[in-house]
Amino acid sequence: MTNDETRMRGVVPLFVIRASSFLRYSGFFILVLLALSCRKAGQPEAIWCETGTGPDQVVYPRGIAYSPSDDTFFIVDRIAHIQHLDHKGGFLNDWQMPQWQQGKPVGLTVGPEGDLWVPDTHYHRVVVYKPDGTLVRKFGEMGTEPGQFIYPTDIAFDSKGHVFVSEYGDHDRISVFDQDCKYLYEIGRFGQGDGEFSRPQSMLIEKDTIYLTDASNHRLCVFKTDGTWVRNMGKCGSGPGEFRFPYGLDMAKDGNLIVCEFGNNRVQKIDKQTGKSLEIWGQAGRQPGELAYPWGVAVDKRDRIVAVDAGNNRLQVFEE
Amino acid sequence: MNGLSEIVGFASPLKLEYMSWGRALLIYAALAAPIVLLGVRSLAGLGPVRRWVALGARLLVLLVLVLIVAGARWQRQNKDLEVMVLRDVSQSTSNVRNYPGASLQSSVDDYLKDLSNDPKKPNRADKLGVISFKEDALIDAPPEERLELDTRAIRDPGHGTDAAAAIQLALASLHQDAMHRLLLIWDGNATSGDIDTAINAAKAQNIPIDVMPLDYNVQNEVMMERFNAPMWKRENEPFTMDIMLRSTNAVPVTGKMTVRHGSELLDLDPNTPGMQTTRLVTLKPGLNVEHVFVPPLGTTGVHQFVANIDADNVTVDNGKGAAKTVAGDTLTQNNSAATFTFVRGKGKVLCVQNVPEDDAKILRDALTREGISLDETRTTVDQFPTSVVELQNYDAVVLANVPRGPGGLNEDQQRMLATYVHDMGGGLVMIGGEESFGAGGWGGSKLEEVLPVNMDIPAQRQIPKGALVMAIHSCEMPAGNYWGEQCALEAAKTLSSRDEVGVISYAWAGAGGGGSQWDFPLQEKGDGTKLQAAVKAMQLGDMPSFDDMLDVALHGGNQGQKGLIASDARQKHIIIISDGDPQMPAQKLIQECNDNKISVSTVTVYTHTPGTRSPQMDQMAKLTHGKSYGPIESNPNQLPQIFIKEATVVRRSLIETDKNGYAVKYIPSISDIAKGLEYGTPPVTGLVLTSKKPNPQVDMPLTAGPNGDPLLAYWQAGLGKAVAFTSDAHTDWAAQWVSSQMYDKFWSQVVRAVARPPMSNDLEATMSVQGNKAKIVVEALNKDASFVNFMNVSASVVTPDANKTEQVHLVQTGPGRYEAEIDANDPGAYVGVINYRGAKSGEQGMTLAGTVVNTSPEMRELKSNDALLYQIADRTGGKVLTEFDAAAANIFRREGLSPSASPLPIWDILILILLALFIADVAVRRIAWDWNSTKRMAASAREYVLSFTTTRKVETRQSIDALKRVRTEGEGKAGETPTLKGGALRAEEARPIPSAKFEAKGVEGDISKVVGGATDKPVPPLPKKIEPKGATPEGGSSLSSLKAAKKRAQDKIREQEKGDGQ
Repeated sequence: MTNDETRMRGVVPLFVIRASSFLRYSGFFILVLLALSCRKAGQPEAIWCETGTGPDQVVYPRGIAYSPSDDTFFIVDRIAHIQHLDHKGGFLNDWQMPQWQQGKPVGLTVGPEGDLWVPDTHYHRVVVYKPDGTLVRKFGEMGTEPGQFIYPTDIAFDSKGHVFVSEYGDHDRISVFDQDCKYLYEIGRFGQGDGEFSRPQSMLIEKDTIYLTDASNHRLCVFKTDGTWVRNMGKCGSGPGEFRFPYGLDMAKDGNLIVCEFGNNRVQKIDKQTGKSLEIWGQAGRQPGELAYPWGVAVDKRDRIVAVDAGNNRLQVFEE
Repeated sequence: MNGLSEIVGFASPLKLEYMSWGRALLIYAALAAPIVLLGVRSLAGLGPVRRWVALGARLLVLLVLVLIVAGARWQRQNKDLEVMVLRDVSQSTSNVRNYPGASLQSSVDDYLKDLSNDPKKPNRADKLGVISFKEDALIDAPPEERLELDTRAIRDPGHGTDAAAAIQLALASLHQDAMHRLLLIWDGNATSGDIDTAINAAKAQNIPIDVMPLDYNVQNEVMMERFNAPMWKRENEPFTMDIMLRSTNAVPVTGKMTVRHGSELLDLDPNTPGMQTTRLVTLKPGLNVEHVFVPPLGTTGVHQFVANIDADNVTVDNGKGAAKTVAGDTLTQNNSAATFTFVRGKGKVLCVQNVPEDDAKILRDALTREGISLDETRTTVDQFPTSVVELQNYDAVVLANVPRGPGGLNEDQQRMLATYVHDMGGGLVMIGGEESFGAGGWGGSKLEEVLPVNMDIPAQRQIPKGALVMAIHSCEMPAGNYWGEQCALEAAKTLSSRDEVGVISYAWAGAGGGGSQWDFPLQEKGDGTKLQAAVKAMQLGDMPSFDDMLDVALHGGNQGQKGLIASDARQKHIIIISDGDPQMPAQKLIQECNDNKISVSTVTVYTHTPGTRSPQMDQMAKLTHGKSYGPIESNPNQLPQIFIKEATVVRRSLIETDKNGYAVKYIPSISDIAKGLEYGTPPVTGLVLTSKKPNPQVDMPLTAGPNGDPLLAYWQAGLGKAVAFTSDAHTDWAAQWVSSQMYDKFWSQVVRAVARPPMSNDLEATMSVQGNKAKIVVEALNKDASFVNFMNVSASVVTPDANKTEQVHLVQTGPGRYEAEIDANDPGAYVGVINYRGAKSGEQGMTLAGTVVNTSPEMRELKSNDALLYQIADRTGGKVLTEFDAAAANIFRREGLSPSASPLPIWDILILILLALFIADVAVRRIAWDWNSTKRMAASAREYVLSFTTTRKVETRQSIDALKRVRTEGEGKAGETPTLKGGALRAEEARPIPSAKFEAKGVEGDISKVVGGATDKPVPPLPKKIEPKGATPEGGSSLSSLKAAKKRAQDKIREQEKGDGQ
């Protein structure tokens, strides 16, 4: 018995190595196996839904809303199929918008009472449902007069229960309604300047501040709920803190903004005060962790980010 | 070998794709033999067990390799069921009256949804899909657990039924990983397709076809079965037409019959004074014939007649002995029939001009003065014929300043005209103007192919170029990618090779992120192949904003591409096709368009608010002086025409004008068209630039200008002839021509040169409909009334689809008789030009024949074909379902189905196994296995595991030991070390039996050399004892006591071993 062998015996009680070449071979193959089995960094925590028209299936999903009261999600896709999912992406119930041949909703919002508010974009109105799909109310019609809409995109609520509806299409603005959906006033107008926006795609209201994705101007806008412009954040581009068609918007637990970009195929965490990019998820692609045409985003109480990966017909769940 | 393959192959779910099992085993055996032979020798140094284990590992490696090479597949057994429903949506289903819902199709929808939601579904994963069929088949819904019919395409009823195509499509689209069943919802009446072959294909795949008959039996029906008129008549020769009417009523039914000649009602009783435009007819059950007298027709050409019957109600028995009144006619679709007659005589010319009436009159008067008969009822573009039959009225067609697309000829008309010239021997004269030739968008058209000039100009000609950018956002309309491509390609065809063209669409990912990007950066078109490739590769994204798109079009891109502002083109134009929902561009960009004289035209398609254009589409066009088209929500065929029309905006540079005039040069020619031109012609002050076709048959007697641009060109195009005159025939560009003596003679000479020759009188050609075929019969007699045999006779038949011309050769079937058949499934007129050539010189010519397929073949059958449906179910093992009874259908039953198997490639798994075996092979040879260590480890593991199961006992023992120890300590004498006693005892108990060491298996040679341990050799002396400084003297410490105990134990072992040895 050589000294080496004696030493090895103490380390590996099962084997006695006669040649070091075996170590090299087996080490190589173990590395290969490890490489094959390892997950890539940046992969999502989960992928929900697949292509199709059935339960837990989507066709180009476009809107998402999180319901904190029961820890569930609502999503809507290109066939106006609204699905109610649990916090694991499991199917709960579904229904379809009454009319959708002209076009489908592009956003969803859960109201203070837990109802689902749907900006029925191409029918120029707002439709409200109970979580079980029961129709509660609908209001609005096509037009540019107060209380009318062209293409409503999103709905938000302030602490008073006022309803804020954003719209685009020749008459970009945010219309404000009271709790009974009676028109009160409007905020902003079409344009590129301060206090103006071009395709306000998503809104978020925190206290008396409105955060808005100004999609075609590739920036975020901040207003007061009384209509006072506060500031703009970001510019067109692909770098951190820059945007290309920011569409989806939600707020993380730490109060920062989560923005998904239709153009840059990614999700950014943005400091709501400075506009600085804090974190980025995703890039253009079809693989897990990659996004194609992300339309919407929602953050749940676990601080998980659920991105609507429209072009890949799925939802992807990212963890902060 | 096959037997072996079958045994191995069928015995396991493992299948080989590339070779049989027998061959794979042969290969394996052939390779395994040397491995075994060589292995036995080379591995002789190993023990027998290790040697054979190593060999076994190598053989397994080889086996896995052979499996990978042979394409091993794991056959998965699939027990889910996939049902594909084939539903008839053809016109004949309108006969079905027995359905529960508001309409047949909504009833079928409800039925299918009930089937999909069947609570008796044995498996939730069972899927239902739908294919709808008429003359073609389309997938309405792919197989899904939950049927979704709302996403299906909108389809018209069509003119035929091809159930076979639907079955074949279903068989081709079913997934392999499921069992299958088809459900055929059909009336059993097919107009095309081989249903027998399709059923056999389903049967061969063990796929049963259930049927749900769409049952109907139209009993009270009056239909126009046939309308016969003589094919040929001479001018002013009266004739009679026969109308065959069929009644399925049980009693005679009265009705009113009318016949139209063109747009006028015919007098159906000339013997009675006044116009009797209606004839009261009484139709007995079965076939009835009505004769209609046609007075002498004074005009030559094609005369069309349309007959119509309107039946009254009838009184019938209600089955209880009482009378009831019912409609005598159920279906209105088969109440009309059409026919046409060719009247021989002097030919006519169609002269269509897109010029002011005063100018148009100049040419018309000149031709009339020269004795050319013009059709005075059709003089403007909007009066241009819309069918090939109507074109047969004319020997030649003259187009003056007529553009292509909106305001000119549409695509069907221009294709029809090209067919008229090329396949039917008609003549064409195209005269220039500001909206003609290339400037009129004729580049890339079918008509360009029959003209003697090309719309493009030679590359060496330096003329100001145009720049066109097309923004394609057609992704949300049906077949949006296809139509987007077509628009871009057709528009680009009208451009010259030097014109600049660019194509923009929204790309979801790319350099710099998603956004509007160049699919084809703005550049000279060249030969168009690069553009075509780029457009074909386009992947249209959902454009969020026109702002982004317009920015790219004007300024280029972030990759250094050129935009329209940087282009040196004279005319710059942008065309946008969109549904109108992207965001409006910024005012700054609109202003830049105006500053740089860039116009924007918009085409709205399939808008989100039907019937309206979004304001941004209108505004963009209005603010930039472009045009706004749409909304176009049906017939996307018109989209390319709009693009073609809009593309001509940048082609204005093809128009050359000089008020001083361009000298006209005569190039000697022997053709009739050039007679008299050698004496000189006046100059022209304008023309459209073209280039002569590079074909020796093209004769170009006149050129104009210093560059010798074509002015007059002529050639034979297929069976017809065509002339291009690139200046105009009026006072704008050819004022001196109009005022010259030669004007009348020149234009009459041109028209006569291209006009179709008179029809041959030697042939009697007829075409008639027989079932789904149109039969052409030609009888050839010479002047001596004897048969002309062995001629070469062919026909070009223009079908109702103007894009389709059937070429057919007629076969001689008797003395002087030639016949051929073509498919005639579509309703409409079939017109054939028959050419013949005999053996003798001069024995050649042409004539026309035609027929009309009146009612759609769909409406010919008045009863569903239930027998065929029962036969389909019977042959394939399906069953006949009760109509619209979803509860009883039990469509997801497993009866008669066998689980399908789908091959799963397993090469990736085999590679992992291969790696593992390879490691094992190396390991066996390189590693000596210490069985004793393994046993010890196993024993330790066992003890460890058992310790969990005997916890109580062990703890009890430990507790007792602890108590004893305490007692012993209490009773012990001073200086006595408890550990000595206990330690000695434990050492004694733990000492292994030395002989057991030699029972190890699988280790060769002296194991002690490998792993150490006791041997039969003397125990080596203990190492020299080294006392640490200050150590306690022996016997005075616990350590020395332990050592003493160890020595005693070793002595005892030695004694025992000696005893064993004795």
